[in-house]
Amino acid sequence: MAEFKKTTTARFPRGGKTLTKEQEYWKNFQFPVTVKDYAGITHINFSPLEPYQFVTSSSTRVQIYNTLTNKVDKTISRFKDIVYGGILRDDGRLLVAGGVEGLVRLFDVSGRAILRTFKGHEKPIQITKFLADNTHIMSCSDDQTVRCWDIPSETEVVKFEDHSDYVRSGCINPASKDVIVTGSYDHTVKLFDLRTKANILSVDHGQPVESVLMFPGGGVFLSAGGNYVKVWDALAGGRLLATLGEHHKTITCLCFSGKYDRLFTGSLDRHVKVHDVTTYKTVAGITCSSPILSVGISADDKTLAVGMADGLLSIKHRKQEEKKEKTETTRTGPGSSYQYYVKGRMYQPKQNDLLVDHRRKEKMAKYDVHLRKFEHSKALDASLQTNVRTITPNVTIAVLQELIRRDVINMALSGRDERWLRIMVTFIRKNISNTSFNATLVDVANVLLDIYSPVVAESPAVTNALKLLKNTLKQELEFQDNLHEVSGMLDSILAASQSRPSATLTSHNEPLIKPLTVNGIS
Amino acid sequence: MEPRLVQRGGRKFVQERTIFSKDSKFLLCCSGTVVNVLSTSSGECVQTLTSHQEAVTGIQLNHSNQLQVFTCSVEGTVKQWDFPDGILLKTYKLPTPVLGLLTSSAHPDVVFAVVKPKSKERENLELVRFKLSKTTGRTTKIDPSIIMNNISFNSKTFAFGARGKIIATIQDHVLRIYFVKTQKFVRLKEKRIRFTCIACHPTELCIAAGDTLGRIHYYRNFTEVENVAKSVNHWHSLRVEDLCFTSEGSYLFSVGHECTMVQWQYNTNHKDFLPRLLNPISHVSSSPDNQIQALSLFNNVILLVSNNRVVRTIQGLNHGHLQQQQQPPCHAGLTFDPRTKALVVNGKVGHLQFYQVEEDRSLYNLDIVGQNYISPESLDKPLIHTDVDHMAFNIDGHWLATIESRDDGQNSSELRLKFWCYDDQKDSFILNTNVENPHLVKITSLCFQPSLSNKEATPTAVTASVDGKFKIWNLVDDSDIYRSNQCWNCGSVGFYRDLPCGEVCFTSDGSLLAVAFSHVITLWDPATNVLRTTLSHDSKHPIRKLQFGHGECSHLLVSTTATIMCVWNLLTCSMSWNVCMDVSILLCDPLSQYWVAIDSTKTLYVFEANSPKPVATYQKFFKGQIISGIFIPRLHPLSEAERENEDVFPWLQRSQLYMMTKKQELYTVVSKQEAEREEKRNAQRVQGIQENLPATPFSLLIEQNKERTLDGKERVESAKLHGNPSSDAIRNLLSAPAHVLPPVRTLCSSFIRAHLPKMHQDSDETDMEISDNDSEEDEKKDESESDEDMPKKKKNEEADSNDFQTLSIDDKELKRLSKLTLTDTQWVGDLLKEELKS
Repeated sequence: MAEFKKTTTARFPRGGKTLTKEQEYWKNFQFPVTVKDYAGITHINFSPLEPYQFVTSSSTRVQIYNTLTNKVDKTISRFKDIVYGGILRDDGRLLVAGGVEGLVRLFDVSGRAILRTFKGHEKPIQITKFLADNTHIMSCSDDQTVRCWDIPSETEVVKFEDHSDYVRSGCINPASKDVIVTGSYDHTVKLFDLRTKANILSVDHGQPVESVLMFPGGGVFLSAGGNYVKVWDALAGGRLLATLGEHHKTITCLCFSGKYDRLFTGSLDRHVKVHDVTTYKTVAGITCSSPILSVGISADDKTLAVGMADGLLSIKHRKQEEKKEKTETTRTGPGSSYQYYVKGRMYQPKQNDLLVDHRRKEKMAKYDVHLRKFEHSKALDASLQTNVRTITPNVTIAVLQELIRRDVINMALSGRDERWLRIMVTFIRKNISNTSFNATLVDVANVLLDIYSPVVAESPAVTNALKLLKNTLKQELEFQDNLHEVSGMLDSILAASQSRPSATLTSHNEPLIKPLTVNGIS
Repeated sequence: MEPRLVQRGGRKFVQERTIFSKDSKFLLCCSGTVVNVLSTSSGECVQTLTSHQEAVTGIQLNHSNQLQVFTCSVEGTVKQWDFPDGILLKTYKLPTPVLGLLTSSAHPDVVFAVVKPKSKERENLELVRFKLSKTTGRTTKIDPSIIMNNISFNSKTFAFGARGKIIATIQDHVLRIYFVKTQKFVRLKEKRIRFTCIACHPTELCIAAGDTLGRIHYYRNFTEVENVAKSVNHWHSLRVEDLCFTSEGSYLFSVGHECTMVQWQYNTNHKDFLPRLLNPISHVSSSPDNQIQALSLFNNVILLVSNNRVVRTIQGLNHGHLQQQQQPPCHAGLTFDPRTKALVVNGKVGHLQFYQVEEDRSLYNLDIVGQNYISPESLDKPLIHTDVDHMAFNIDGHWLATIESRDDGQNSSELRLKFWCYDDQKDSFILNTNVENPHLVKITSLCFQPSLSNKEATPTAVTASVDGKFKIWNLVDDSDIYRSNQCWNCGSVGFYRDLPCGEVCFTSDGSLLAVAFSHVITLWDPATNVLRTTLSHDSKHPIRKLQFGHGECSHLLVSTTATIMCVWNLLTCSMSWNVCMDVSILLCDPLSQYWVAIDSTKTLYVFEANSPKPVATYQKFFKGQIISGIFIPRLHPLSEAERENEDVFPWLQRSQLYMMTKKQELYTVVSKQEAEREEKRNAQRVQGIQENLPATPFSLLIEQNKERTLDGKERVESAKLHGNPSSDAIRNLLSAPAHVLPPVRTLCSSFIRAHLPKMHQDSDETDMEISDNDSEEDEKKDESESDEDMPKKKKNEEADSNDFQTLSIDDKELKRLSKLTLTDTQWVGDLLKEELKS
């Protein structure tokens, strides 16, 4: 005795791209916590120490956020004008910030007291950074200069005046305390050596440079400006290694993931893109609500903060790995005890016992149960239930096909009431333009019309549904005609471009859809 | 040297009802001119009763001796057999053909037979009886006495009942009951019922008769014609094919076209079902101990059912074709599975059948369409089922492509292309890709590209359709983050002048694709799908068949149309030669340069590639209509000596030719000598099975091993090889019965001594080793000079190394035995010590 074979429902290939593992990883954030600030958040800087606090600079204050609570731990608001480039020292105890005032201020994080104020820049300071030795500060200013300051003595150590436009970006060389990288609106990225106090390398980015970043090894640095990120090899004298052009608006910020294996770029086109630093291919993307000015990620990749032009700060936390909670079973009655389930299972058969193996009944869908019992109308009803016909129309089609195969489609369709007919005709209308279903549904529609055409005029609802179906078919036919025209045009273009004898290949661009052949409906 | 057609498979054994032996251990079934005795526990054929010249029509038990049966045949004989041993005991000759038998335990010395009447004018048959003779003569002429005439011929239409008191028979609307004792008749006519089968209750006066509407009518109290008690059971929707009572009559089994066995409890309305047996059932019989029922299915399969479960399936080549089906039988043709070396044909509806030709064994049915077989509403209006139209294996049998279709003429047709991948772990084919509607209309051809010399080439398949397109399918990567997978995708589409596409064919190296477009042959590069050239001639007949040559003549292409067979040379792109003939079947041997053509007059021509003159012609070679054929590489390739032997046709040296007739019988073409040899081999095989009941594959294996070891010479050799000096001692010990043996204590010393290698012998052998090594070195010098002696030498070397092994084993044994002294009984230890000292 063979088992009843379930109705095979055809699965059709889905269009669209498939989700990669990487995309899944970067999508796996909780719903973001958003904080509204007064003005655009120009800088975000994460502390490399746990609990990975981060500093945002926006309007006239610098705020230190706690990633655990998403609340502001500290606010430093002792600025008279807009503040830029707030950054924590890597031990998390000192904070430096520039600003429109042209002063570089050094704060004690715990007491919020101004420890030092470095005067000298004449124009707003966009970038301030601690150098690798932690006792010096560099600052880039709109007055086209880059200066280094000594913290203990509160004096200017060196001033570089090589740039010819605003210096809007800069970073330090993590491997060397004496080298800094700056990018300017004069399209150049320059490397300076503090020892020789001279410009040692200059590369042309081709666009005003908005952000620069250096790998921890100090050999390769990146510059972002316009729609491009360019990768330069410093050791090879500024050779261009790669160009990343995935954004379609100006890229405003760059940052590395905690392990320096992914590069984040934020852009005014409202996207944060994740790039693999070995291949420089885009592996994932995150969309935000407004143009992005700054982006930062904690060293453990668990918190992503995005600052936007309209003052929104979006903090995303990685989803917690779901721990399976033990659901307390509160069953009562015969199934409540452990003995109930093991009853008889532990019994060891004796030598001469006749063993009868228990066959577990396979669960079958409702329509299959009815089909097995030759209850064809009920099977059709089961497959036309709302959730089946809307979510999985292919199941409904499979049952219809099976009924056609059994030659009982007439019987299953006849003897129905008005409501049922309306549902059926609507189902046909919604799915008849699907090429996979169209052949079957045309057959069913023909049978339906054959059965009900004498009485259909009595019901306005069904008549309406049929009229809608007719409209749909009309549109579909027009659409097919247009498609044929287009395919004809394409064919002639292709033939002309190939200029080969007629009987050669067409690599799969034959007319994809044949015209509908509907006999009864018109 | 005349070739012979030998039937290999497809013998029908479900024509007549099967019968169980008294002890229910054997099942007997008629199969053409022979009767097969099958073991019910293993399903193997253990005995074949061969003596009848014409078709056997019935079997009945001899109730006076439970090891004997009667069989009858169209030739007009009834034979008495001892069936476990297959011995013919007696032959009774009747004047007319015998079409059925009846026996009853109440009448042990009488046999009732259904015979054709003597006068040829009457068409209906007669029931006759004759007494068994007690004489010792082998052949007895019988003149039977007529009991009843005007009965219709069928084993289902007459039955013994009520402890042999009555014989009931049906004919259309009439039920007749014959009382054996009083020799009276009762005749019941039912105008509205058309009977199909009958069964009588074994003990009570009750008759059950099935009719064409699926009802079962019970008749009781029929001694009085006026007051016959009738009752009806109705479950079947189509005609009842057969009825059968259990031996005590407590249950009635009924079967029919619903593929269901219904078990009715007698005198109650309770019924049980065994549904979905996949094919209509023609006969049912129940074993005397009521444990097993045998169901004969229309597709030539016997199912043994026990406790409402199928316990065993007895099948040869399944007749996949039901009479209701529209398509011709085996319309997917014959294909060879290179992995299992099995022949693949259409099996059950929607299945492919893997059939082992050598052993006449059906390996398994692979479900292709995955749809239930539904019996039709009426037999006149058959349902149209989805069935397999084409199939193809790739060169290593890893991929299987199938095309299934269903076209009922009213609704839109179904067409599916499926690619199956062989899964080693599951040991079956797993569906890989399902393409719905790969073409707009009917597909005419499907084939795989033979893999090129570089094995990294992606597998490629081609389908061609009447819609004028052929598509090239490639295996592509379909991996995503969840799984790594491959699937088939349409790589490119080709067409030519909007002509319908016919046969497609690859060259043997897979570098060129030939596609027939109506009457034009086109050649394409399968990698780029670029048209290379076209070949055509005057004839406007569409090309039926296209085949590339193999081996030396792989540059030749054969094409056949309704009027002409052409051979094209692809090096010159011109016609090499042609013959005007109507070839219905063209078969190319993939291993040689020969091909075979069969024309409409059933004549077999064998061609060689380079000449229009056939190598051999056999006029009217086939009797039945051949629908398909195939060359299968020989499973046991012929040795050089056998090849030189003249009794094998040169064109059959590498492959064997198998042909399928319209009746789904499988024939092979062999020479007379080969046929005889094979018969011998088969006889031996059957003998092997008989000796070891119940035969299982394992027991067969053991049997073979036994034969080999018992072979005198081999045994001596093996003793030499394995250095087993104790074998004689063991045999002495084991062969003698236990009660005549002396006490173990006295035997032991000699027994153990036999196990120990003798010291002086050892030294001899090591000496031998050294000398052997020397000689080997000598031989190595000579190797270049005498290549022909190589195999022998190698054998020597192998033998030597074997000696080494046995020596080391013996050393180990020594150690183990000496350990025994510590643990085991003291006397064994003493003995051993003595031995070791000496």
